[in-house]
Amino acid sequence: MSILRNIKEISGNIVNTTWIEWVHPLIPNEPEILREAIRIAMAIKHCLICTRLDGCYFLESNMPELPLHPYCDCYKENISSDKLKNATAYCPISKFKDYIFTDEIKSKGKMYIFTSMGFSSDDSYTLSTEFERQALSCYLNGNYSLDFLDQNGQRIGIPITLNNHMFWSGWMVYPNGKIQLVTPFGGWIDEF
Amino acid sequence: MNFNKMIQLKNDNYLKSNNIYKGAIGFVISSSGEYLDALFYNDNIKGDTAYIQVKKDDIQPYDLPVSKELMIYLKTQIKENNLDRKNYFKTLPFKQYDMVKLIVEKDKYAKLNIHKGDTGVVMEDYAVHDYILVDFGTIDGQMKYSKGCISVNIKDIELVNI
Repeated sequence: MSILRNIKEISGNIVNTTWIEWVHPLIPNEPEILREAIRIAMAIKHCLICTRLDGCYFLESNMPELPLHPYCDCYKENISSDKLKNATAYCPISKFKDYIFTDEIKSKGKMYIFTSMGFSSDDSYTLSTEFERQALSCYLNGNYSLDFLDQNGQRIGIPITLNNHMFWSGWMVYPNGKIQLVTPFGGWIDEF
Repeated sequence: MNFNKMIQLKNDNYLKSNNIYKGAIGFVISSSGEYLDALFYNDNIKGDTAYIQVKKDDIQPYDLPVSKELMIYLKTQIKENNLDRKNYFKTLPFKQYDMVKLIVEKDKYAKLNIHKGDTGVVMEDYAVHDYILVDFGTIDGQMKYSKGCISVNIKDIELVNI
């Protein structure tokens, strides 16, 4: 039973519930304008990366290194599975309509990948919702890889499967369990 | 007006030359007569602020109450840390999905195999402390993927007209 202790069903997904919230003192998770105001006020004495991570949720076994630097004020706080129920994945349709399906030059070859898999600009909404569905499931299961971390935030790679092809998609982690797509294609997981 | 609340600019007629736009959100630092000294936050370049004098008639409360303690903390930090008191917003020269080219050769990009002359697409409609996300990821004729999506200083890229 012990290995199942931290496993629960949340929003239709079976998830490992040993999750934490990255906390930097004084910074609220929302609203965004207030977060920015405090981050700016703190910027001289506090690390931009740490303050950007505040409020973000990670699986405890798959999180940025803590502490990030000497004299880091950050700490991690266990969060309940109830908080994870509010987790969301957001994929703007424009990532497909205005980027992937523009032309080969602007998409830098990515349009060909998606058209080869049988998709077109007309599928932008479908792709967007499918990316959101798969990404949320992967995120809640801890099935993500930590990517770049800087003042813009923590990016994660999430595997997406479409028509039997697996590839990485790039997402940004935001507070309160929100992840948002940065780029729909970030490299192959299997050979095309 | 309650100076413990956030404010919003409702009239930008005399501030356009400073790139400060109607709807910008900030808070009051001090008040004198019909004018206020206020700090506004640039939504297009996070981390960028403008410290300006505005008429009380040109602002309205922004419905976001801030605790007195937090407001004192914010104002104290601004005074102690000599927060940049420039009176204008920086402008973001790129829009989301603009194609851009890297115009410098720097180690921090080169170690990721991204070099001067490489082109990419801007992925977000905002920058953070002058850094914006650009997708340099490329698929070649053999369907091989290279480079990637990274944050780049807005001074290190220029717009490509296609």
